[in-house]
Amino acid sequence: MTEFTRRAVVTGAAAVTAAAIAQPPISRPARAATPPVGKQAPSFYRHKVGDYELTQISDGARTIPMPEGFVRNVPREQALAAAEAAYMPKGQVTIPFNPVVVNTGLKLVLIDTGFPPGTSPTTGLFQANLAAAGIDAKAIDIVVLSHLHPDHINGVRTAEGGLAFPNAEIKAPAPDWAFWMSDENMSKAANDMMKGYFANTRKVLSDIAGKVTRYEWGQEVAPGITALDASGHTPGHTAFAVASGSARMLVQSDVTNIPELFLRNPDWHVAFDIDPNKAMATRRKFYDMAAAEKALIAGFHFAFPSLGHVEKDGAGYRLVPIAWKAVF
Amino acid sequence: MSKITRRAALAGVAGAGAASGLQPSASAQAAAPAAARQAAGFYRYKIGDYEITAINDGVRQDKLETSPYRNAKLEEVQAALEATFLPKNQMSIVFNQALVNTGSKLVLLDTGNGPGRGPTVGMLPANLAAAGVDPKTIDTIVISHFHGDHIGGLRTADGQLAFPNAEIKVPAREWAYWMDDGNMSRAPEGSNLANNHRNVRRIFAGLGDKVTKYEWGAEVGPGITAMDTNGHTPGHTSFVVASGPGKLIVQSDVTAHVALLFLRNPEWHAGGDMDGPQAVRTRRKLYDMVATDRILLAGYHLPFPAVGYIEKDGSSYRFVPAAWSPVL
Repeated sequence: MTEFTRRAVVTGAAAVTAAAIAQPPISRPARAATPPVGKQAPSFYRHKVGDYELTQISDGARTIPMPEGFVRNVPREQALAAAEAAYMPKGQVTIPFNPVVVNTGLKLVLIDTGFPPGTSPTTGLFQANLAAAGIDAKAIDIVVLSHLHPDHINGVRTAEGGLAFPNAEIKAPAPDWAFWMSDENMSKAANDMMKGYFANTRKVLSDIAGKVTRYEWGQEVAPGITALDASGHTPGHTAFAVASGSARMLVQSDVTNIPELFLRNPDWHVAFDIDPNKAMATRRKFYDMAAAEKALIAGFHFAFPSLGHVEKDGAGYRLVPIAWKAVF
Repeated sequence: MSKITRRAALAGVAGAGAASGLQPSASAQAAAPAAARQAAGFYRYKIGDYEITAINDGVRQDKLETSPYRNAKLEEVQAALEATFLPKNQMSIVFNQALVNTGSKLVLLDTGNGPGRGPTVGMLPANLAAAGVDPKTIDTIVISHFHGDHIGGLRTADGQLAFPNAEIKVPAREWAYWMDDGNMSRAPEGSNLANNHRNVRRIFAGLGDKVTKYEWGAEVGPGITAMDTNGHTPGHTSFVVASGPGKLIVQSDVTAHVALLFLRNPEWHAGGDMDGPQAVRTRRKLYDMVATDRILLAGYHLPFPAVGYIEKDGSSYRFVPAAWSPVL
């Protein structure tokens, strides 16, 4: 009750009674209201896999009206209903971007890069969040790319076009490199999206091709980090197993785009899957394995901190996000 | 490939160094040291015009040796932990406060464990500092109920007021129950109940003029209404925070202890649930409402940042964390 009265006196919005005026305010000295901070916390999260220290780092997220054809093989209304059921803003879809840093004790390894700073107000946050996590970009030894889509590779460059990780070796999947760097494939690009991807790959990577090592599936791309064939999304799309001691984590890259749609509905085809049927088969195989071994999964397009476990749920799957560990 | 060559070259240098009595350069091969520290536990989100900051007070990690729940067997608790992808032999009890900036008032809902309750709890002051919040700027503290993990943070280690300029608001029924000498005398000596009676008196000693008792239905801060959710304790209170079209329910301990387990097993009685059957009725009533109306909910003992949605799943419930937004 005192709250209402006090507020009425301060704002003058309500009738001030004679009694209230007659009685001097007895509350503590008036203080100006504290302004809102208006800024999010740094978005990084640490956890361990065996002896390895991992840092999940957000590059941001994009919330956009769901594009026509975002899900190729179901009506737009159905895709929108799924997004809304997952608490996304009506008519819109949110796509987060989350690279991972692995400190193996011997090497500091970055898996995928996000976008360069300043790409948009809500993306290109990787460098700032990396710095907030206390990691110097110059200390990164290896940058491993899962595939050559812009949200995974563009952050190799600074906003000015320099090298964002000047001391790192860059590793790219050999089949993806071959696909995107082929002039013949580029000339056959079926639509503007694909043309844009071919042009972007070259813009980002062509003049540093000599710094890029091509890796094959089955190889260790860094100590304890093995490349796994997860093709379909792109011809060279790669997932990773990070193993230390008896612990193992799967880095799924883009086995699904946002899980709210494509993990719940593994047969849906996101617009970005180059071979949708192969991507679908990869998805089922990957999640059946992950569910059976109760593997921890890092997903580039999962909501930050982008970690969870997958369980089977009817014909689809369900992502169970990890419980944040407050004490590391 | 170049990496292997470089390593071979380094090894060669090292070999040569040893042979010539020189030490190899350690810095060339040393990886960046592990950070070994979690990110600060705060997260911001908006409810209408209000800025909410979820603040983490830490986690208590208890070894699971006997069932902590009155009507659940140890094996059932272990199975529930495993189904939730939590370690089977450990209970991690997390504590999260909500700070509400209404534009005119800075209101803190509950205060955490306070000092002296272990190295992994009592982190509210540190996380407030990380969030840039000065404890002196907090205008109002609203207490949901009188368990130690909610009121302990009112005092600093030397017994001073942790939030010196704040009015303290407490549920009238909670005050009446715990301050009653008859109730205290009936609590079995050495029991948690007796200890809690003593702790309540220690915390509130000498604070008479700073403490306001509120009734259910009252506004305890601008747009913040107290809601009867008794059962966990006689005066246990939840809050509705409303600003414009935005609405948040701060549930306090409608599910307590490891809250995720009580969502999946809503009939279980936590040790702290003073009236178990009433706590179950309250739980079902609140969750049926927020699930139907898709109202955002903050839970004191849910994993940080402890905000999300409740979905019905047969006769139990499922927590769907709100997607972390990397920008505010």
